[in-house]
Amino acid sequence: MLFGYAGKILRIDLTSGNVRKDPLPPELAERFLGGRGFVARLLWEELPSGVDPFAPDNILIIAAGPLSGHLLPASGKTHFGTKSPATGGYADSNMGGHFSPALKYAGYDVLILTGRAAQPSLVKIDDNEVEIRPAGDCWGAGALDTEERLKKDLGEDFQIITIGPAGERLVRFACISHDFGRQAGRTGAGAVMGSKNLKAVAVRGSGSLPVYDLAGAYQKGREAYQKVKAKPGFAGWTPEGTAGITDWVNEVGVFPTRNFQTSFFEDYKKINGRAVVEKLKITDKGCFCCPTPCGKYGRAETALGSAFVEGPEYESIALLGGSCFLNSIHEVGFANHVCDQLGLDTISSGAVAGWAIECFEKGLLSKEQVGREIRFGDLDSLVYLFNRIAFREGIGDLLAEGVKRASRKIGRGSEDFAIHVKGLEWSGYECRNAPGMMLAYMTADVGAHHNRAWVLGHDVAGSAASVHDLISGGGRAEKMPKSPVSGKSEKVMELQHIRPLFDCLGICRLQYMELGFEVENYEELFFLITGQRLSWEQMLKISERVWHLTRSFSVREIPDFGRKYDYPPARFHQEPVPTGPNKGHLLTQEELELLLDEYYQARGWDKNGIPTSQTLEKQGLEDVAQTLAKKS
Amino acid sequence: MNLTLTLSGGLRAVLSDLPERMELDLDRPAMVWEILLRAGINPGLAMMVFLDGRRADLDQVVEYDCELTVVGPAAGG
Repeated sequence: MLFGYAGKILRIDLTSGNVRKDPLPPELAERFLGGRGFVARLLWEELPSGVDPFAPDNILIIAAGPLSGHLLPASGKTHFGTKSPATGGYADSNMGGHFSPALKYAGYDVLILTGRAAQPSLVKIDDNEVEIRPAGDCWGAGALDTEERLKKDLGEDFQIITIGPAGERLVRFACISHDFGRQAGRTGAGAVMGSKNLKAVAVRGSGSLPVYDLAGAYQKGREAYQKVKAKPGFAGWTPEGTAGITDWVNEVGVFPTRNFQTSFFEDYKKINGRAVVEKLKITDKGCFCCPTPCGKYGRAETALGSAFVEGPEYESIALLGGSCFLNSIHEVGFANHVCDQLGLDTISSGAVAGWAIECFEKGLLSKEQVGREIRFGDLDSLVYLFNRIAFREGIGDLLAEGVKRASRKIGRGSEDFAIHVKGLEWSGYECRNAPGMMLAYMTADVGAHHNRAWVLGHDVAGSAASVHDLISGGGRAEKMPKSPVSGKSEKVMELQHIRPLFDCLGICRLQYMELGFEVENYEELFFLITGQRLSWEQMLKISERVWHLTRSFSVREIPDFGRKYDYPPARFHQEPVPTGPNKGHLLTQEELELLLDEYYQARGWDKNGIPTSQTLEKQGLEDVAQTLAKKS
Repeated sequence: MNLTLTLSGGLRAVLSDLPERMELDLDRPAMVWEILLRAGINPGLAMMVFLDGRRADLDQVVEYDCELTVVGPAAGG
């Protein structure tokens, strides 16, 4: 018996309507743990190579981890994987909430969706019963409205994932929504769901999970919950959640502002964590078993309308606030709500809107093309663009393709400020003086995403300000010294194994990363639940294996994949930061090459960023090595 | 003046050789950022600071026995 796991993979072919339940292979759990590890391995094994992301043959995998659904801190994470419509390569995205616990209680660790339904549909999983039914008038409805409708129709105890109009229309950065404000936001998984004519999945589970030492796990989980709440920083961090970092990123000059033209926003105190708490927040909102509820549920009131919204969390503040230049937390919250309802990723949506507005300002997009004037700092412009994008109307049809494809079509230098890596829009940290974070973005397996390795603290720690500067700045350096470039790969790699490990385990990383909840607790909980003694280092080795596997997936799927896919946009190596603490800084092309050279060497990849056969074999990925050898 | 300095996990992830809790003995009032420098902490790494549980600024003067909690930078959602 596989303790900790539900023990089954549920496969649903939406074309034929066939449903199959397979036992979870023990070797899959042993070698890839769960969650992200399952997604990566199953995509490698089961996705037909070369398939179009929107073809019925693409697969959408939803996976829980071994610790998901158990009684320990923040064990409600769900992982999604597919071939990305944004990048054409490996895609995964993770969300909090309550879905994976329900999936496991229904008896499944993994749900694999293949094919395409003949008509708009939804999947209902009620323990052992699986039904594909017409989506009816949910099709066309907003993501939040759909969830509300299904909760009323099916019952409050169903956990629901859904897409909005953006997913239905295959917007390449459409997200999957859950729990009225949680999203698997990145890499366009919502568009893949839409391509399958699948509006929603509802799951209810009433079963139990096998636990190796039930009494011990319960006791340890309870202790863990109390320990997290006693950690230094708990009382300070929790009230504002991730929005609490907004001040800091401005004070050290890494806040994306006006489509990343600069890295400091004069009005940042109007959209920071305190503004969220004082002006928007009604209540905290947490995920399954979470002692540190980072969600802030509140009400945004603007001239364009009012709405309840979860958030905005930091990334939405950065991309809708800073990058689109909104200086009202109510307006940021409302823009966040519009994206949530339409089923758009707030990060990519902010990046795409910022790019479009800059194009308009520079005369690269005309009023006729756009359909009206659009401006930075104007909520109406954003709401207009987001609706056009979600319904692929007018200019929205181009923007729905994301900044990489849209800028190639517009040309005339617009590629230089299309802020992405591999086709995925950049999240909330400007990096012209943060070489470690720059490397993390460049080498993240899904594209420009921060949650694979967040090394900004190390970049700042490495750029020692003089005492004189600190005195004149009241403890903050008014001008940040240039951060050293060499020697960043070790820390980036370390974090690229740590943070994704939590996605394998199916739990939230915040308690560890932000509050310092010790790794020994995770080792012990893993043992008590699964009966397997794995040290933290052994788990990290598995996470490292997954890292090489996801890179290899993109090598297999993208014909000319390699080093050129890891570069940031020209803005970051050609335009010095014009204002703020990092004024004058940039990373030169030579410095970017140095970062990649050191990283590839440390990874055991060749100079083009391709994992070598020797490296893959060392990771126990002999079949992957053979496939890549045949390709080369 | 006795001061207890506690560091969040996010901060200790960057400054891994520092303990979670330190006791400091100050012979005169000092600003928060001065205290951090004395403890070997780059003030630029302080995302939030709390004096006896209340939010404080880096240039706030500490002149009584208290607990100073420093929350390090933490990524967005």
